[in-house]
Amino acid sequence: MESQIRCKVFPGQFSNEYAVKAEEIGGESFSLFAPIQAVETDENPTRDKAVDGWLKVTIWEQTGDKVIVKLPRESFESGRFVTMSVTQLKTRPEPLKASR
Amino acid sequence: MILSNIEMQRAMAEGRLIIEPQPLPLLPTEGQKCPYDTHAVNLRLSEELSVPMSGPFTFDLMGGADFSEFLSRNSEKTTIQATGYALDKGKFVLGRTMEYINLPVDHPINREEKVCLAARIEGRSSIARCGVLVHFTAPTVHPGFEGTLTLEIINMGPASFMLRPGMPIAQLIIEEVKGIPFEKTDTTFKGQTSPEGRVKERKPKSTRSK
Repeated sequence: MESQIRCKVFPGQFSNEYAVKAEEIGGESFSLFAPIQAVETDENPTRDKAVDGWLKVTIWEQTGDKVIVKLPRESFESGRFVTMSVTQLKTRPEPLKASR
Repeated sequence: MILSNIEMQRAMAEGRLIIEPQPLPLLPTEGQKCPYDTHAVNLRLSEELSVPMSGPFTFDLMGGADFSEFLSRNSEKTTIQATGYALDKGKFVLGRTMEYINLPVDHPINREEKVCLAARIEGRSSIARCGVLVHFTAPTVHPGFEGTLTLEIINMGPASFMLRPGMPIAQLIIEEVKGIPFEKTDTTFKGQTSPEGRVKERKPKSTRSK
């Protein structure tokens, strides 16, 4: 299931990417270069001004109020998977239902 | 297993390997350079370069979490003009391929045969003979990847080297991976311990709680 997490967005090293920064559940930050298609922003970031945005992620596993998400690219600090709070997601995952 | 040029083209026709724009011609053709070698296809250099700046700083991956922004702030985007970009000896730049690569994992053939594709980017001997590396450390293109490939280009040779947009800069080798990795974009195969995924781990319906 796809979702989005809040992030700070800065221009990347190439025109087809953004430098993105976000926080894990414990407050530790991580950063990555994400394809521009994986980032939503209301305005374009500039070298002088980072902007708020949403980074597309894939929900890997949810346990209680914690969720492991897969990032669109590997982060420098935390690898490809990071743990977030479900409250950090733009679209909260539906609770699992037992099938009959 | 490494795919031959014919198998590579078959994978492209099947949609298991996407390279856009597709390298053409597919076969040797009079008057045109065929980008396919026996088990590799040439990729071209995009016109965009990122030139790292030097300064009184140290790259410290463990020193904080603004590293991507730090790298961006300390590099300059530049466009290679038609006349070329002379990469001086000892200089390092980042480039990227013109081609967009996609190695979709979730494909009917992959599901049926329990395989997927990965790739490896390699340099070209003609460029290496000039003392120029077009990638180092990070040749692996993982299953599921989509995007252009970033090239770490450094001139270790004795003279400047001219980079030109569209020049064949690297070659891509396609490999078949046995099994479906857990990084798959959805969770169909999450936690798999067998090629069939989690199916065998499921409890019988009668034992499930309602």
